[in-house]
Amino acid sequence: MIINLNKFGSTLISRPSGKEAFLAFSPTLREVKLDEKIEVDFSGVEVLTPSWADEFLTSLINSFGKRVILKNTQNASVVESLKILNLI
Amino acid sequence: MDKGLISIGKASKLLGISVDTLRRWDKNGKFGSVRIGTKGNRYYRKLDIDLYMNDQLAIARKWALSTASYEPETEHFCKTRDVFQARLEHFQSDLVKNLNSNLSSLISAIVGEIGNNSFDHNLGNWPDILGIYFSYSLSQKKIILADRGLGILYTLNKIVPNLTTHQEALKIAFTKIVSGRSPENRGNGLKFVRNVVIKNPISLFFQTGDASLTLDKHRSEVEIEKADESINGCLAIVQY
Repeated sequence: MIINLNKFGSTLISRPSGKEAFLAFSPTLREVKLDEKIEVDFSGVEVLTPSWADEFLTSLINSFGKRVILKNTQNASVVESLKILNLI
Repeated sequence: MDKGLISIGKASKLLGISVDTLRRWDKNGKFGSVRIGTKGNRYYRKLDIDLYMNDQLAIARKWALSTASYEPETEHFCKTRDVFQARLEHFQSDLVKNLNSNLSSLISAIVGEIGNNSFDHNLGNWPDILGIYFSYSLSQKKIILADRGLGILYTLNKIVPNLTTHQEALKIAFTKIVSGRSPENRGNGLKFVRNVVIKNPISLFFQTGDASLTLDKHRSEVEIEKADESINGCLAIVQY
């Protein structure tokens, strides 16, 4: 499965919106097969904060562990947010 | 034309205030323009734009310091998180036209983190006025954020009970992963802000209560100073 984060917006900053994003996407995540990888694509994300990332990505990784793969993480705010959350 | 004059459209972008609001302020004398040409097009002096921003800092400080509770003018006041999000997106779209995309995304991220911190830590507990003051000037490269919330000492005291001063609380907030919303796994927001500021051409002044700090490339260590006047909540000034 590929999750295009830009479908949640290009300015991903607050905890409530990160939490809401994860909850809203949860029904789709139920379709993931046992050995399926989940690619999280950051293309098109202009601004990311650790608050949003913690609510969405940490929850995702808690559920799927190493099956979560982060792609196109070049944006500077994405890099810094992932670093402080020890996700890269 | 005088090089010190700028169009109303550019003034609108620089100040983050709509053209309609600038026209209204011109009509009622709040912020006057210079009328040029047969159509009387509105222009603004660069000096006036800079002075306006200095006024905004004074207004934000006054609001944070005031013992009387009141809502600031609506153009810079975000009563809810949704309003802040919308204004931050507008800010980001203007900023990216003036700066490289990496720096603009980092600046927007730290402004977003500081602003949302105010909402996160005061939800249901605002002492008097709900919301944050958020003002910026692209010409002065300055962003101002303020709230009349509980402040960092009160927030952290719930999980670090032996804290007694704003100075200690501010230092912890910027250096240790401790969350005022324990037991949730939080508390990295201001560390993130510090990491970004000290590695980039950005400076940050942050005050809570009577404690303040200044961070930039040359001042990466958190050195807390005692401010002359104690504020309610938090005041942040980001420059780039």
